[in-house]
Amino acid sequence: MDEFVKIIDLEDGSYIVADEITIDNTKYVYLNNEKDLMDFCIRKVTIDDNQEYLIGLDNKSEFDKALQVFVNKHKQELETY
Amino acid sequence: MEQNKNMNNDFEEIFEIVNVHSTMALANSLQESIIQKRNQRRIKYNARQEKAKKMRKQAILAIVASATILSVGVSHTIDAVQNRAAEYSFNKTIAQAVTDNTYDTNVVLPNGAGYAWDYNTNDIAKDVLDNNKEIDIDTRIYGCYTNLREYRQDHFMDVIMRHMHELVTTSSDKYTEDEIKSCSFDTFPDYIASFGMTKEEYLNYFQEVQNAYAHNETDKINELLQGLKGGSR
Repeated sequence: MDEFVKIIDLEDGSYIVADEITIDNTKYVYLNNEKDLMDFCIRKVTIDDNQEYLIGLDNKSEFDKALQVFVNKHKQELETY
Repeated sequence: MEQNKNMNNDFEEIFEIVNVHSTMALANSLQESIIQKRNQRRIKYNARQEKAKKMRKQAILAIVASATILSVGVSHTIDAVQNRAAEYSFNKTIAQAVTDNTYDTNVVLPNGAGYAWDYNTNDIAKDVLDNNKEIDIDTRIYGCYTNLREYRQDHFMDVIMRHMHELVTTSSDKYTEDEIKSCSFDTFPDYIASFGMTKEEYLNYFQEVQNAYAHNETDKINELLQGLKGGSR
């Protein structure tokens, strides 16, 4: 069944916005490739002239932290299915 | 009910992925490909709303599953994914007698619901008896029943029980004493009654046995099976 989801185009294709989570005042966006859900990335949002931009994370530890917060937020969905 | 079914379908797809990725030890290459994406240039965050076949929930589960592959996250969540993946994998094994012998007919269902399906109950009975011999016969029977579709589930299980009874009667030399004993019933309620359990108790008990198999808990499997009086016992 189709449903409405937020989509954004990256350089290598269209990505589903799985979630947006603010951590320490930074908004992180979790994106899955529409054609292959296991192909995902995490970007963070910066604001420039009132326009939101997506940029990459600084390092692996930032990636791990963002992923851990995501898992914590959604673990209930996994544990209560 | 439909929501639960969809949720289970979501998990099936993700668990397949977890199993494949774990087996192929792709964690390193997966992580590398994710991190590499950070080097790409910044872009405007202008998301649009679209209809998509891949649901957001599946996307979320894919990321959680990836976290387990990358060993990032809360340990008990990782355990939960891996446990569920193991249980899913075992269930898929004992479901095979049913899934291999379920087919679509040429009868078109109303309201675009696809084609009517049917079972080859003879082949299901044969496969339950002949395949997965490393699993005890009572758990194979449980796996068969729980993987039949809800529509006339008990009726089809009765038919399968009768076919199994016929098989062990006509080819008794081919089957073990346990298999012959478990398949000596003509109805599924008679088979369950032999355990001295209600149907609910039977389903709960064998769910535990199935989970023990899924996690290779040999002592627990033996303890649970030895606690039975009925079926093959």
